Amino acid sequence: MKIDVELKNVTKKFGDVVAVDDVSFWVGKGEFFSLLGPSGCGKTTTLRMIAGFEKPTEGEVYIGGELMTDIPPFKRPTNLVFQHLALFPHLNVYDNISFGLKIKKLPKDEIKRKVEEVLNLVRLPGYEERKIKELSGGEQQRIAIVRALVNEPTVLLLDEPLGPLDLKLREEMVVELKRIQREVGTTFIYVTHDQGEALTMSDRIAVMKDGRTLQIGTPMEIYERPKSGFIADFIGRSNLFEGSYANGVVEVDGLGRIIVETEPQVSEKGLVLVCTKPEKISIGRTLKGLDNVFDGEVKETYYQGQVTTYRVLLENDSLITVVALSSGVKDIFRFGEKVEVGWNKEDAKLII
Amino acid sequence: MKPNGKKLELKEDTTIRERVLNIFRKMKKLGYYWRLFPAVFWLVVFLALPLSVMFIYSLWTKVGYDMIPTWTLQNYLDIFVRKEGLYLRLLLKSLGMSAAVTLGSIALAYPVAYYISTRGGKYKYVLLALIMTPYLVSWVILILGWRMIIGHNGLVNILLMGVGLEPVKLWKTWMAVILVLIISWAPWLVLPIFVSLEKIDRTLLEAGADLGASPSENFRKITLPLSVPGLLVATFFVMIPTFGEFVAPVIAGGASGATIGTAIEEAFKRMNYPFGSAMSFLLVGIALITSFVLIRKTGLRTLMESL
Repeated sequence: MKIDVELKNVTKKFGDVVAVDDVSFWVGKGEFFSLLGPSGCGKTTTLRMIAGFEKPTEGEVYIGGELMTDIPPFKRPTNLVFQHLALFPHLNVYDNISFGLKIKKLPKDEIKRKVEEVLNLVRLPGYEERKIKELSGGEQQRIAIVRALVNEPTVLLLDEPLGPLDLKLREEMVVELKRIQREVGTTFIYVTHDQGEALTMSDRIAVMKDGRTLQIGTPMEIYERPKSGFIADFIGRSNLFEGSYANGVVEVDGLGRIIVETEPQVSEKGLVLVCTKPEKISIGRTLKGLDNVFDGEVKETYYQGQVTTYRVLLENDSLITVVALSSGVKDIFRFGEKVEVGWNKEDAKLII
Repeated sequence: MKPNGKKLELKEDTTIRERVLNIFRKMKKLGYYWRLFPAVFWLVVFLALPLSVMFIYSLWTKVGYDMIPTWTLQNYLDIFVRKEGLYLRLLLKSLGMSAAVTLGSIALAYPVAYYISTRGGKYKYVLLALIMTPYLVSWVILILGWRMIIGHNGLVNILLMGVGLEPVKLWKTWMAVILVLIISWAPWLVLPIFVSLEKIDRTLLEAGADLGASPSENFRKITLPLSVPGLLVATFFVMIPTFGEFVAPVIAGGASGATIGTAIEEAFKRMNYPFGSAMSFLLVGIALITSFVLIRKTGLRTLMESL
């Protein structure tokens, strides 16, 4: 795979504060790559270093194989979709989109053709003369994306562009963004704190925390095989049990034995985390045929239509989350009910 | 559903109550208006009244040193025809002065406002306050101060003679008038321009840079157009008061400083109230039209927010 963007040991300090700490990753051509993490994890700073708005304190940034560390933003083959869009309020849609093309001094009819093309791409044909103020949030969003995309950048950077939108519009835009990326085939680097967005759209995700990348992998790898308790909990809720490992079994204080499948390289103390996703856990009055079954008491029940979420108290006083498909009124467990929860050993992942 | 009769009865009952309440409401409303009284009183007594008197004078006829209440438009016509159009020329000269001073002082203030806004950092407001210090000194003294620099025995001429050159006449020239006005207006204009620059979202400049605009292209395509409201407010500040300016022309311009402002002063001095009033009202008219155009362009809200 051809590499479009590469960061080598990039560190960024603001005074004494280390915003990005020795980050390295590469992004392949045409890839949809997400930087995912809670606020303050350094994801936006990383993106701004790729765009050229911040200069790394240490390390190098390569774009299209060329060293970019000292190149100012206006000379980089990148375009950024800003968090608050930063559309030019004094210009109409056409002038906003053609801003970059006019600076490149492209012929007028070519500019016109390209603007028309991208407006069709986001299904807003005929919007050229509209004022920015007259557009809805979703429309502004699309204009901001194509204003960047029309310049045919090597890589398109997106800084939480869906943040200001309401939930329904966000869901729409997630589908829309993925479609746009598929159609144009440009490399996308997408910054978000929303794991749902990242999982849905990305080819690969880098999970960041405190300025470091914790894990880089496909959505499935990150969801199914999280490398740390933090990731397990950040990407879809996880139930974590701490215990000591020996011979395929984890002994958890006050709970008992959890049979696990993976053979870990056990740390010296032998302490490990077992991670089980809420939707992998079965709940019932009596459970059969599962490797791990425990008694519990229902503490909270959230009926959400398609699924029902339970919070179940186990014997070791830990609350676990269980998500079950809603199967009918009589099968819903209420507060205080004694239940059994269980899961198979392949759904008990070990985190060292 | 209530029967019709009962409904009517109910209505009868409430009307008296309603009336009394209405009277109270009206009184309360009047109470609100009374709070405007000081402001309205001030405006009427010290602005509307004298202006009305002046307007009436401008339509009366002058006989010798007196006026008689014979209605005429001759005073207004006189502005254009008297002394072979001298007054019209003075009017145009004043308008030209106003335009030149506006352009000049904006050109001087813009870079300063831009510098403070972009580089001022935590000293922004200290710098702004310092810029305003010349206005601690009276207007006349401010003008006279320039005599120390460009006057006959001023700094410039002392320096010129020091290097063996002939002294030049700068004071009491038309150039001196324009120069003095520009330099005394410029600090004021830093304020509205600064305000409009501060309002510009800095990420727009990042967006510009991201789309390939160099810093100078960014300035031309983003900063300048977005600071137009500030420029219009600045224009408003300078242009209108400068139409009738006569202090600087008299002090710094001397014989070459004749403007419509000095002509008005002259007319009143010679007891020609109708003609002086007519010229004044023509100026008021021009100022009103200019204000109207500027307000339409800027929007009243932007204008008031920057004042």
